[in-house]
Amino acid sequence: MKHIFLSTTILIIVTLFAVSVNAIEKSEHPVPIDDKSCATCHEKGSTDEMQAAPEAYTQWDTSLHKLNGVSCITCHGEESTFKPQSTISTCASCHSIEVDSMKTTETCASCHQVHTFRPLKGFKSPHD
Amino acid sequence: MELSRRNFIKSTLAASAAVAAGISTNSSAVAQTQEVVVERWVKGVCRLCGTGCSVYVGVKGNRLVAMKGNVESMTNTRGYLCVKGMNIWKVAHHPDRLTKPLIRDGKGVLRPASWDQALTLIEKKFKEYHKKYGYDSVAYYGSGQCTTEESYTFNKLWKGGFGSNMVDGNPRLCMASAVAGYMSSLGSDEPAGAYADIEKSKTIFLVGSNLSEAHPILFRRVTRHKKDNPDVKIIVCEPRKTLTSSVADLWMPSLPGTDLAIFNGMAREIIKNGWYDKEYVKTLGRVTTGDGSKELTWDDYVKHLEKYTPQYVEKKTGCPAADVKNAAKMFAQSDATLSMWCMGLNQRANGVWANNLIHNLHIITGNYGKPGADAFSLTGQPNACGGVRETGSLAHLLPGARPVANKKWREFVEGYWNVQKYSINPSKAINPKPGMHAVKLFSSLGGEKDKTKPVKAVIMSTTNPAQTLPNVNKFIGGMQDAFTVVIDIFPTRTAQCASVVLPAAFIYEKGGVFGCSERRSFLTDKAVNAPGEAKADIWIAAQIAKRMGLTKLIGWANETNIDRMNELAWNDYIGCTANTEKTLKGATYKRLKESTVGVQWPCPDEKNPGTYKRYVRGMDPIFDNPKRYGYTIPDDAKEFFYARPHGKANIFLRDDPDNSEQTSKAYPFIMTTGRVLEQWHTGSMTMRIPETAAAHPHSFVEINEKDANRLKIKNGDIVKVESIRGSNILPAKIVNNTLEGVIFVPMHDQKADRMVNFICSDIVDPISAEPDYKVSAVKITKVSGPKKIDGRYLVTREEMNKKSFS
Repeated sequence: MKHIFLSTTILIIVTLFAVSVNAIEKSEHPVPIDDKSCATCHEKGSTDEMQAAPEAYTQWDTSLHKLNGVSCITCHGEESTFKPQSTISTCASCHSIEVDSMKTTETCASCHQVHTFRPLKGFKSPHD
Repeated sequence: MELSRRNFIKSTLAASAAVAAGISTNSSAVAQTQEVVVERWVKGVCRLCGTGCSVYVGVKGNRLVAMKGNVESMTNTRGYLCVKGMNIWKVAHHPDRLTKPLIRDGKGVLRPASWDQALTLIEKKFKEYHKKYGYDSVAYYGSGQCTTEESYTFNKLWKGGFGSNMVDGNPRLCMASAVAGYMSSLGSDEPAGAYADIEKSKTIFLVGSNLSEAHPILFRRVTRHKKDNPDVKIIVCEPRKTLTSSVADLWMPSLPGTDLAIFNGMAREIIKNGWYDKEYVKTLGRVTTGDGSKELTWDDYVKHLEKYTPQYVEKKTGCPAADVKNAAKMFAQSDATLSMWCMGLNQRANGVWANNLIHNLHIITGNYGKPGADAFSLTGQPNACGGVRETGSLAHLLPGARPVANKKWREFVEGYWNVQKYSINPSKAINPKPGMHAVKLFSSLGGEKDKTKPVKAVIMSTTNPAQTLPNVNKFIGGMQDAFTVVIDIFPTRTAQCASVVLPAAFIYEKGGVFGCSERRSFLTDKAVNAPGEAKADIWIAAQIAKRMGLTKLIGWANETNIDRMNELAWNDYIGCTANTEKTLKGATYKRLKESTVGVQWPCPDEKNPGTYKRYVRGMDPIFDNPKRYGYTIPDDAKEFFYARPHGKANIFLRDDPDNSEQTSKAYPFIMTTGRVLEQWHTGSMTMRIPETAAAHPHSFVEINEKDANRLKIKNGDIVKVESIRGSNILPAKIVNNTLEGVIFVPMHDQKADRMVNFICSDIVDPISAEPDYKVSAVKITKVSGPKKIDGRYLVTREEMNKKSFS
């Protein structure tokens, strides 16, 4: 009985996970990027093109990711590989210790502010 | 019960593969971003820089689908990877992969051929030239990207089989000055310490290194150390105020090519203020000059330094006098100072001397031999240290990084290789005379009709000299006229010049050992099969050996299993160097197969864990049996260097000559070159990864805003950068982070009018023969306003049939 319960639970989780995976649909950047730098539109105060999500860029600009060369394309891809939200597996390329210690229902953004990546208040770190 | 991901997806960690991500060449195409399940993870090392990041490649079927860092790694601690490393697997299945041998026909077109046809032609030409022009007319030019087993095999084939030292490699273009610096200052090549010193240091002196972009994973370790220990001081000395300087307590600007004055100035301040370690100098220092043979006094050294007042240094280098004093204090008054440098010191007309002067600072302050203290040269390629320096695959070296001119060692290697019995050269010996260094080799390469060029054939592996040599236009004709064989995975500028192109296996398709900057050898396991007819270099070397009558010399020539070939070559290599300080005798293939962290030499036996710190009793196993390695170390010596004759490190009197190309009225700017974060070398791999190509699709010229204002150049304007040798047409990037009069151009672009080495100076260091890529005199003129740039340029298969570069 215990085995059946466990198997059923795992099946449900697998199904949920599979759904979440399959739910990642074909993504297209809203406008052609055309080899332009992300900052062209996303950096606050840029007047070259249209302004788009400057808050995200501003947050990233103060982050350790920026300091360590983890730029927009690292997580979001480029024109042919664009994904509006980074996948957990992209995070795991560098942070597999942390990803391994997370619950399956969690994403990095559950506890970390996108795009400063600082822990949100009130969350107990599962990584310790 | 909530499951953690560790339990749930341990063996099937999803990875963003992006089906077309690694293979789409159409930037407007939108590929579906999806997750794939990894069937197995295979351990290995990152294919790119010299950090030696330990990775796992994710495999599904016979395809690479992901990459993740090894969390147990001693290099990329906690498994961090940079954007290049995490995406490098994507090049494996790129449609541009070379999958069949190609032979250039009479009309200049590369036609598909069988391996037998290609190898028969190589055999015919090599034998013909050996007979007509002598054994030195056929050269091998290797790479810090070949595996140790491959470099060792080619080196043995040439030096032991052909009796020719016409073996050199691209580390000549990046590390030769560091090699000569270590050899002359400390008596043995490669660092004393390891990356582990980063976290133990109190002051870090970064010089001639844009660590944040060239070695981002090590930069991360530095920034983390500083974040956790705010008292740690970081000094950055370089012409550009890059991201690296953003964590620095002190940025010391210096005009390219002038920093020898800064190092001497710092030494002067240290001595003048009594901050030097008198006991250390007395016990372990030896003042000398020239080639190190003549011993001088401490007073001679002090007198020599008198010229280098802070005011003199400021005038010469542009570095404020106060910064020289501050830097000297921070360097000398810390408990443990770690210097790290890279091409900014090595690729210089006085690169060896620059290295010597950094070692001087460490000797006079006693900054070796203790945790956190070291003078550490960073490498640019994944196996420049292990594959080329340690196997001695340079024109003047033998395995163990000992000179061919060293009779005793040469005779040992002759015996070990059984040269007397197996060599096809009638001398039946290793040639005592060094072969030609890279620039000389390619200057001497030409067709049969050119009587001035003694080198008639060259086989080049995993390197791209038709793009990377300085003043490259000078060498292209010779490469096109001679019989040139290129081994690579993609079309390159060098393949465009080749007579024969051989399709190579990628590292994860063959496996093998890479040895990184910190003396650590790590075995990559084969993960998938190579595409089409692509072959591992070691197999190619073995076929040439067989056809040249050297099957017995290369004991693995008849093997067909690449893993077994690698193992036999490795065993031969570690046996050959077992009695040198570079011994990896304890790093058996079985041990390397099982290890997830690799092994640092010296490692004399299987029980030895590998060595974190050399030259120190209790840490360096050479102290346990010095005679075995040719040293006499006094029983009471706690520290001992391998420089002869006293085990002391040499404090060199080195001046600050202006040997680089000087600016003039016609060419008033100094151009310096280097890397950007997302690209690597000639871009043949990183320009084929969509993400890294998008981040840096083309080259540019960085100009100081004051210079730009004066020349009326605005951001994005198209400008011509020109030296007496050649020019580039580049978009301008106006910055305020570099010195006036200095411009910077990245080195990665393949487009002919953006290949920076058409401009670069081909002056070489007189000792190391390493080129002076960092200093060229140029002028800049505005061509037009902003224009669309044809970025992501790649040499195609079709372009390989054209003589001119587009």
